[in-house]
Amino acid sequence: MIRTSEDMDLLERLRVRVRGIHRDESGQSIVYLVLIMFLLACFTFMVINSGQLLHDKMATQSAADSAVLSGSTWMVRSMNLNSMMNILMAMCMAEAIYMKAVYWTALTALILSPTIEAFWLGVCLTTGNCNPAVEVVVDTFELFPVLFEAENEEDFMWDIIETLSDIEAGVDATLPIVGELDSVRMAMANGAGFGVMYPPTTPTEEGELQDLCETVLSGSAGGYSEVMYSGFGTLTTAMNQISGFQYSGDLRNIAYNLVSGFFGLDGPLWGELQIPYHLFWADTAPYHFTNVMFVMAVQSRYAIMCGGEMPPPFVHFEIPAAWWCFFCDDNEIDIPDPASYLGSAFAFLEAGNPNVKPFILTDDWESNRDYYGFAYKTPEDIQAYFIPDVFENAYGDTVGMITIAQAQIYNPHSEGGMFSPHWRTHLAPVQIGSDTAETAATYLISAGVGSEGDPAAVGGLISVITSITGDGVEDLLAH
Amino acid sequence: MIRIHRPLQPRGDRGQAMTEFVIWAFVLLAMISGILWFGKSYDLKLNCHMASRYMAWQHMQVPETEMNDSTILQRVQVYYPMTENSPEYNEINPEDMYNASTLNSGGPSAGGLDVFSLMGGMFSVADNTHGWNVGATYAPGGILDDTLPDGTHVQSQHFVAGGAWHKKQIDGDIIIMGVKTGLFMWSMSAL
Repeated sequence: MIRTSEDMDLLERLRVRVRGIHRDESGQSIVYLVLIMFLLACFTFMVINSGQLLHDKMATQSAADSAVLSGSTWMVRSMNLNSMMNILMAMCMAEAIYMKAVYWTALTALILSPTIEAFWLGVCLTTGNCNPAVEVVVDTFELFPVLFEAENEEDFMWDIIETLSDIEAGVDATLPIVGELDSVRMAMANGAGFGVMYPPTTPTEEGELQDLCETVLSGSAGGYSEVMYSGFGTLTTAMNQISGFQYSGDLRNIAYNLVSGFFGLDGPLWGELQIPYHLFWADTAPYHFTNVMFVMAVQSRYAIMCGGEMPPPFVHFEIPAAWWCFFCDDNEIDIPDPASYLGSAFAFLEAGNPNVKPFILTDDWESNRDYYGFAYKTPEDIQAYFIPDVFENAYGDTVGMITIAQAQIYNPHSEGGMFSPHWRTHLAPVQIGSDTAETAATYLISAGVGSEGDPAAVGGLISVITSITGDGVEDLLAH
Repeated sequence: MIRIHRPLQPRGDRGQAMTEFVIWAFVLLAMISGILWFGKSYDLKLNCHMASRYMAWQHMQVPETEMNDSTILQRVQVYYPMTENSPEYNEINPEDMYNASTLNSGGPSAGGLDVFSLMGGMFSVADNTHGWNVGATYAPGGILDDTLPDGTHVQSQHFVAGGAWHKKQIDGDIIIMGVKTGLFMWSMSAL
């Protein structure tokens, strides 16, 4: 091929042009500028997005904190209310014991009234002190209305106790559910898409009547006493009402010994609640030995229901003949324990009341006092623009962001158990397993379908909510 | 005589580096300022978040701690200082909590579940719910003064319900003494 001069010029010009392109740097920096600005924009976006993401996480954590704290508050409310009612039940049980003791004492005194009358007549003959023999007849007639009333009054007291027991069951069944709902409410009020607390139960269980006994007897449980004061005086004051006749001191000493040997003089069986009964027996029928009988009847009634030592079958009482009655025998009588005296004739010395079921702590309550609050934001709730992989869980964007909080219930006087209404709750470090997020996600998902063990309870709760609102569980949990 | 030779540079490229530097400096300055502004605002937002949480929790615990409003406010001002940011502390009526859409714009979206209406009556009976809103303003100053003359207002709010109803909170001693008195009087009349 032969090249012409024109061809040569064209080639040369093209070569020069191409050479110029290599040398010309104009417009080069704009490429870098765009690239770097893009990277910087991405960097800025990441900073802002991370901030939003952390804020979302923080808000969700606060929602979980608030959910579990508010939810577990209802648990301790339930326990405090039931503790208060346990105390009231113990007080009422003491009253029921008194009423039964009144009944037994009045009946025994009536049955033995001829013997008692004969005893005081003997005293009249051998000492010349005849007042008791005259007054005992009047006192005996005063026992009849008491006898008829006592049974009714005791039944009334048991009705109250059984009602309190029913209320306890209602409290234990209702308040934890309210706590679950409150945890949902608090989680959502604080910006979470949904939240819930687990477990929906308190670490308590139904007990039996005998669980009240320790508190009935000593006014305390586990060594912790709730009521250390008296509003109406002490038992000693009441015992001192056994007075006004010549032999009152002897009878008072017998009653003192019986009482102090059984439950002390400072506040047994809810302390001053028994004062009216001692005053009654001291004022109404001092010569019937009824105060002594009453003390023994109380101990018997307690021992029959709660176990423990029965009082002596009788207490010997003796009034020596006067010096001038040289040939007279001393006047002696055995003051019986009404329960022992009537026992063979009364088959209804029942040991308890199966309808009374105070709520008490479970044996393993300390390992079941942790509550976990879960809160999550759906991807729609999250204000950050995207969620890096590091924040995602095994469910991808099924659950946008999930947090867990833990609360622990406690009682500064836990030795008092469910007779110490001082239960509280506080946040605690989360200890729910090595992979917390995974556990929580699994829990919520399983709670949603209510198919696995314990979470089914929460699933049931959600089902209740959704049945009320008409929304499906899937809509609730999956987004 | 020394003669200074200008570098061999096409006339059209003169001042290019200066122009690029100015552009870059402006972009970087704006970006750094923006990041600083965002960081400060974010820090203020977190302070508001924690302050609202503290306010709500402390007021919820008043039956326990017996702290008054001014003591709580003094403490929160020490723990979460925002004195230069014109902080505002406003208690929210718990009833307003049930209006979730106004409180939490953009959420929550629990499948349309109207939990708040559902529970509104239930919790109004015996509730100790406290909600607090804390807001503050970040005025960046400097060159951003003209851009954000009113500053950036951030706020956060928090709700919590509590009160364990323990013996002290419900005047348990008075209840026990009341029942004792009732039983005492009943015993006297029954006998």
